[in-house]
Amino acid sequence: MIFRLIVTTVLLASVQLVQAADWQAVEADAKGQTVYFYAWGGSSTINQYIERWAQIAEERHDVKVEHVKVDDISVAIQGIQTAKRVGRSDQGSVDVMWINGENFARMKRDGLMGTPFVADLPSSKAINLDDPTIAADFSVPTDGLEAPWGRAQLVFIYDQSRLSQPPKSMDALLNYAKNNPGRVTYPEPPNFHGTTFLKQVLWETTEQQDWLQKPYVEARFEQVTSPMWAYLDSLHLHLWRKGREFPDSAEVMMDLFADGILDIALSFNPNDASQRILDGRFAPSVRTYIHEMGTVGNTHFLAIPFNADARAGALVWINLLLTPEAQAEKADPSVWGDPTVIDESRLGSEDQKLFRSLNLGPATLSAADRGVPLSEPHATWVEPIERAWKERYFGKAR
Amino acid sequence: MLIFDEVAVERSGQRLFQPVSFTLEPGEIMTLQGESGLGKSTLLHALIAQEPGVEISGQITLDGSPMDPVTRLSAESQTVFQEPLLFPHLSVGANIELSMYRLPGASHRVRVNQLLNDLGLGGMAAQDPFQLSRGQMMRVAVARALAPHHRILLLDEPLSALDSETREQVKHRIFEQIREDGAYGILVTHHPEDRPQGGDMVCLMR
Amino acid sequence: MERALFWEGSVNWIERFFVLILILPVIGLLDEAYGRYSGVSWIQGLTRLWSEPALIESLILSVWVASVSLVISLFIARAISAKTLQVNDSQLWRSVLLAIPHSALAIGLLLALSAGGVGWRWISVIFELPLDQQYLFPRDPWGIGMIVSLVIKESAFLIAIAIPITKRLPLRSYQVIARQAGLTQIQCHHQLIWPQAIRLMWPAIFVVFVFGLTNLEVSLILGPDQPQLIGVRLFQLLTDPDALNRQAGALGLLIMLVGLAVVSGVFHRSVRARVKDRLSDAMAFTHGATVLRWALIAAFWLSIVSLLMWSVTMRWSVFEPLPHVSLNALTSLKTLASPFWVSLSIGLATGVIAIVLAVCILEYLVSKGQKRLHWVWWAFLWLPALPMASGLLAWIYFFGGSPGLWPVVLGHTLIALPYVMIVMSDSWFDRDRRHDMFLKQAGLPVGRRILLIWVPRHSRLLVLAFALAFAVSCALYTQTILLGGGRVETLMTELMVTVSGERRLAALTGLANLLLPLIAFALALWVNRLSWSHRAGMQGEGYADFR
Repeated sequence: MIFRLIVTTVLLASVQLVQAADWQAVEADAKGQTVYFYAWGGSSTINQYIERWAQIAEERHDVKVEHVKVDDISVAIQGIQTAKRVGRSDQGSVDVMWINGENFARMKRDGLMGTPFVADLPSSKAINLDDPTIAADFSVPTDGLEAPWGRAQLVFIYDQSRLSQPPKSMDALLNYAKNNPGRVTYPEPPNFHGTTFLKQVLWETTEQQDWLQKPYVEARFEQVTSPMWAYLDSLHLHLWRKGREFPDSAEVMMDLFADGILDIALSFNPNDASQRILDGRFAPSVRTYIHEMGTVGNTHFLAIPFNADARAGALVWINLLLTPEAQAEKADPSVWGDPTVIDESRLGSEDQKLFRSLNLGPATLSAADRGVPLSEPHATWVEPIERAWKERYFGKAR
Repeated sequence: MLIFDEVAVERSGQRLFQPVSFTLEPGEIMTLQGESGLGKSTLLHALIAQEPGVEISGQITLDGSPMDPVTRLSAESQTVFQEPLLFPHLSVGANIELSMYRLPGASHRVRVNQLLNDLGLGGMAAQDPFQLSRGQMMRVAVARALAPHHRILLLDEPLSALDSETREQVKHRIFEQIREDGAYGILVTHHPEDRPQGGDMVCLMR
Repeated sequence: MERALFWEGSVNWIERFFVLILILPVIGLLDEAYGRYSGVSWIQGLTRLWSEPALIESLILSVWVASVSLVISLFIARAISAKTLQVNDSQLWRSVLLAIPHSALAIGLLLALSAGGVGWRWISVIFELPLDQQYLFPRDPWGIGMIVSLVIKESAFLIAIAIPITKRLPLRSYQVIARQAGLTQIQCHHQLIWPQAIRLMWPAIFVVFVFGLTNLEVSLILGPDQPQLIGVRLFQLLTDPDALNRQAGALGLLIMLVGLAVVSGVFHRSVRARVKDRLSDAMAFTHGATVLRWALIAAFWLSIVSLLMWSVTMRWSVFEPLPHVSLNALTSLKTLASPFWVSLSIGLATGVIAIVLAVCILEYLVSKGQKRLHWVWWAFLWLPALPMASGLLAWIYFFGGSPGLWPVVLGHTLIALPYVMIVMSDSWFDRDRRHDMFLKQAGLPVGRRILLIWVPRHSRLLVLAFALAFAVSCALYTQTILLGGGRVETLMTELMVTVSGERRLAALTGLANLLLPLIAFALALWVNRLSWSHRAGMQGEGYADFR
C-alpha cells in the first residue's frame, strides 16, 4: 500500500516535471510566433481587453497576437474546412478561435480540431475541468479540445425608473407585450442571442425537456417545439414593429433599450448592464433580472484548429488568458465583466483576493441570485430550430 | 537620291489620287500641289507610319534602298504638320529638344536658341508654348522639325497659319536649310505661292 | 457604340486575356456547384436551394429594389444632364458623392432614420408624432431605405458618365432641329439628346442594375429583413460551414449569372432600340426631379450628421432633448489605427498597379489603332462581387496560394482597373496620331514616350484616376473578406463587423470610411490645382467621369 502510494506520488511528480519541461519547450517554440485570434469584434470593450492582453503576450512571452475581428465565426470555420478539403494541414490562417455550441460540435464532428490540449496548460490547474458546464459544450463532450474562457448566462435588462415589476417568465412577458405593444422584441435568429432567446422559450414551454438534452431526432421535433411556435405566434403580434423587423444582435437591441424605445433588453453577460452604467451607455437606474425558472447559461471556449500555423503560440496565448490575473480583469465590469471559469477555491490566497476585490457594479445579480443556469439543448437541435424559425416567419412580414 | 515610282495611296480600298512619280537630288524640294481633301496629307502620314485602313503602293527608294514597309521613312525624316502639335507640359525649348533625342552631344541648347533667333522667337526657350500666338507656335513647330538635320523634311502646309511677313522669313529658313544640308524636301500645299522660288519641281496632283 | 463580337478578329489578346480572368471564377464556381467538395450530386444541391425558405421572395424583392433605384437614378440623371447643358453644374459636389463608399453612406442613413436615429427624432418632434410609432424605415420590407441609399450614389454615378457622353454628341445640330420643331431647351434634351446618351450609356446602366441586385454591403445594412435580399441570402449559403449549403449557394449564384446574362441581352436590345421617351413632355417631372434631388441631398447630409453625432454619443434617450456626449468615446479610434494603415496600403498598391497597367494597356490599344473601349472592361463591373471573389479564391488555392494581403490587392485591382480604364480611355483614344508620328520620327523608344510624354501630359487625369482607384479599393468588402481569409482588416471590414455591434463604434468606423477616400480625392484635386499652373495648355483636363 505504502509502496503504491510512493510509486503514485513519484509518478505524479515526474508527470508534473515532464509537463513543466514540456511547457518550457512550448514557450520556447512560441517565441516570435504570430497568433491569429479569430474572435467576434462588435464590442469596443471586448476589443480593448483583447488588445491589452495581446500587448502583455508580446511583452512577457514574445508572442504577437493579431485579433481578427469577425462578425460570425462560421466564416473562419469555412476557411478551415476549405483547407481540409484541399488537403492542407499546415499554415492555416486561424490559430485560436472563440467558439462554442453548434460551431464546436460541427468542427469536432468534421475533424477540424487538433489534438486535446487543455490539460497541458499550466493555468488549467485552477479550473475544474469536471464541471459539467466545462466538460460539455451544448451537451457535446469537449474532450480537452477547447479551453473554457468565460461563462455566460442569459439575463434580462430593464430600467427600474420606467418598469417597476419586470416580467419574470415567458407568460408574463407575453402579457407585458400585450399591454405595451411595440416595447419588447428579441434579436433575430440565427444570431447567437436570438437563438438563445428561442431556447429560453423552449425550456419554458416544452414538456419534453429530457429529449432536448439528447441528440436531435426529427420525429420528436414537432412535439418538442410546437408549444414554442404557438407562444411566438402570439408574441410576435405585439413585438416592436409587429415582428416585421428584429434587431440584428443583442448590441442593437441594447441601443434601442438605451434610447428608450424598448423596455427590456437581454444579454448573455450578467455584468454587461453594470459595465454600461459605468461607462455611461446606460442610465444609472438600469438593473438586470432572470426568469423564475432560471435562464439558459453556458460556457464559451477557446479552440485551436487542426491546421493552426502557430500552435505553440496559440497554447501560450490561451494559457495567458486563463491566468487568474487575466480572468479577474475580464470579470471586472469596468473592463469587460465576463464571469470567470476559474474555481476560486483552487487558488492561493493572493489570487483569491483578485476576485474578492472585484466590485460587480450596481446592476449585476450575485451568483446566488442567478442560481443554477438551465443547460443548453444538445447542439444538434440548434440548426433545425433556426431553420424552422426562418421557414415560419420569413416572407410573412408584409 | 529619293525616288517615287508610281506611288499611290488607298484608304479603305479606295485610291485617293493618280499615282505620282518623281526623283529628287540632294538639296531639292518637290511641291505636291492639289485641291484640299485629295489625300496629300494622308500620303505624307503614310510615309511616316502605318495606319489601319491606309495602304501605300508603288516603289519608294532612298539612296538605292527601298523603303522599309514597317518603319517607313520615320528614322530619316521630320515633319511640319498643319497644326503646331506642341506638348503642353513642356517649355518651348524642351519641345524643340525632343526632336533631337537621337542626336548625341550637349549642344542641343545652342541649336535651339539659334533656331529660335532665326525664326524671330529669340529668348523664348523657357516660355509656355500655349501662351504664344498661333503663328508663334507654328514657328516653334518649324524649329522642332529643323533642329535634328534629318535627310528628309516633310512639310504639310506649314505656312498657312502665318502672316505674309513671317511666312517669307520661315519659308526662306526652311528651304535654306534643305539646300545647305543636301536634304530632300517634300512640300504639300494647295497655295501656289508657298512654292520655293527657282529650280524646284512641282507635281500637280489629281 | 460599335461593339465587336468577342470571337471576331478585332478583339486583341489583352481583351481576350481579361475575358479569361472573368471566366475563371465562374469555372471555380461550377466546380463547387457540381459537388466536388460536398460529394453529393448537384441535384441534391438544387433541392437544398429550392427548399431554402422564401428565396424566390428574396429574388423578387431584389429585382424590385434594383429596378426602382435604377429608374429613379436615371430620372434624376436626366434632369441634371438637361440642366448642365445650360449652366455648369458643380463638379466638386459630385466628386464628393462618388468618393464616399456605399456602405458608409448606408450606415449614416441607418443611424439617421432608423428607430432612435437622429433624423427620426427630429421628424417625430417636428410633426409631433408619438415616439413609439411603428415606423418601417429604413430596414422596411419594401426596401425603401435601400433604394434611397442606392439612388444617392447611383444617380451621381450616372450623371458622371452621362455628362461627357452628352457633350460629345452633335449638340448644335440637335439644337437646330429642336428650334425648327419648336421644342424648348429641356424638350430638346429629353427628346433628342437623352435617348442617344442612354444608348451609349448602357454598360454603365447595367452596372447600376447589377449592383442594386447583387450587392452585399448596402443590403446588409439597409436591406429588408425576413427575408433579406438575394445577395445576402446567397452569401450566407456560400459561407455556410455545411458543404451542401455552399453547393446550393454556388448553384444559386450560377443561376443568377445566367439570369443576368439573359437580362443583359434584353437590356441591350431594349436600350438600343429607338425608345421614345414617354415622360418627356411632362414638365412637372422635371420639378419632381428637383424636389427628389433636394430630398436626397438632405438625406445625405442627415446621414453625415448622424455619423458625427453617434460617434461621440454615449446614450440618448428619446425622452431627453440632448444626447449624453463624451469625448471618451473617441478612445475607440485607437482600434481603427491598424485597419486605417492596411486600407491605406492596399488602396495605394491598388491605385499604383491599376494606373501602371491601364497606361500600358491603353498605349498598346492606341498603337493598334483602337478608338473605343471594348465592352469587356465594363463586364468586370457587371459580374457580381461574390462569384468573382469566391471563384478567384478557388484559383488561388488551386495555384497553391492562400488568402492574404496580395490576393486582396489582386481582387481590388481587378475591379479598380476597369474603372481607371473607363476614366482614362477617352483621353488616350482622342489623342492626335500625328503626335505619335512625331515621336516616332524623333526616335523616342516606347518606354520613354510613355514616361516623358504621355504620363506627364495626362498627369492631372492620372491623379484623379488614382484617387478613384483608391476610393474603389476602400469601398470593397466582399473581395477583401473572401480573398483575405478574414485576416486582412480594412476600415471596410471593420465597418461591416461593427454594423451589428455597438452603434457608437459603427458610427466612428463609418466616419473613418467616409474620410479616407474623401481625403484621397481632396488631395488629388489639390495636387491638380497646384501642378501645371504655369502651363496654359495643361488646364481643363482631368474632369474625369468616375463612380
